[in-house]
Amino acid sequence: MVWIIVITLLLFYVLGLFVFHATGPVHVLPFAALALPLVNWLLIRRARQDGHERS
Amino acid sequence: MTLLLPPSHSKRAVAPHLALIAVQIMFATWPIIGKIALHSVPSVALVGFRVAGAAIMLVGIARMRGTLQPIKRSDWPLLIASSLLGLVMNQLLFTKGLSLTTAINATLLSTTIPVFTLVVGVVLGTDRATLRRLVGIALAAAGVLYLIGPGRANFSSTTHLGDLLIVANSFCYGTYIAVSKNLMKRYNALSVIAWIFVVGCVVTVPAGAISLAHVSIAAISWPVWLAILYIIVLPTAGAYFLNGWALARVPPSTVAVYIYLQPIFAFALAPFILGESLTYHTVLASLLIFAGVLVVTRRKREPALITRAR
Repeated sequence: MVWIIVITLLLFYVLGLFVFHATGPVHVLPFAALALPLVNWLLIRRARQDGHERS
Repeated sequence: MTLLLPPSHSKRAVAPHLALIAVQIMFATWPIIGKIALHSVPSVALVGFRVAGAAIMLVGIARMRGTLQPIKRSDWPLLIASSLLGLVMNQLLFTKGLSLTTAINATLLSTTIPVFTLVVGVVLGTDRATLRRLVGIALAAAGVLYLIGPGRANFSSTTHLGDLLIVANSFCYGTYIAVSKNLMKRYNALSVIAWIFVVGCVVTVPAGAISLAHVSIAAISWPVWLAILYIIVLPTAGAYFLNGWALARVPPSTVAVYIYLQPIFAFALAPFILGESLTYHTVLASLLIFAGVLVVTRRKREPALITRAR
């Protein structure tokens, strides 16, 4: 499901560039979007490890 | 992302919550992108484009996948009510209400949506008013109130009608979330949302066509068409479908409480495109809202796990 958020942010970035002609901070968006799956994977892995330790 | 999610590690339990976060990100981008579309297209026409475009897209996808289920005759009254409440009245009341009141009043009054959802859900028996849910909704609402600042609201005779329309809009959307739950459980979410949009076309498309009478379609530039396409695909078809999909899997009050994330995402995303800045005020309000959503969505720990942890 995280990929839907990534696609939303990337399309928002494309519109920012071509419709709003935004500059500067807008270029952070694709990096933030692409970092999300990694953050999600790390959090899930940590939650799973915590679960195993508890059991 | 998963910090917000229940402690269950299965992807099946996490998915509806991620879907609801995606829905609120999509809804948050709509006023930002909508700004540019509304320069060239009247608001009622934009509603018509959204509903017609999303209906074509959703029916097309459902037919291609072979998952478009026919709705039983006995369920049509509920489907029509869902379409009128969640789509037609929701869109038209908000658009008209916003034109008669301030954006601050509209955001403040929209905090009543989860309350309406919970009350209607309890009355219909699809939800329970637990202390956890009430505290979570109160916390998240406090975050939105702090973010917007009630002192900046201007409730006067000039905004009275607009304010009432926004409250009516909140009631309609809150009730839609509560009543459409039964449909989402009986049919697949894609079919229900596709039919809701098809029914919505009956009112919104003629109204949109009339409002377009004095607008030259040829004069609408390609960036505006691109913005309209984005609004149809993500904040309309995508957001309504994911909302319905999640609604089939979690209680209506959980779906509704995620609405409080919307102003946070709007405040976070606007600086990227509109050049506005984030303040400590926004960060503090975000923490309150996230805490409220966390309280509502977090499940009680499994008894077996508690015993083992001891």
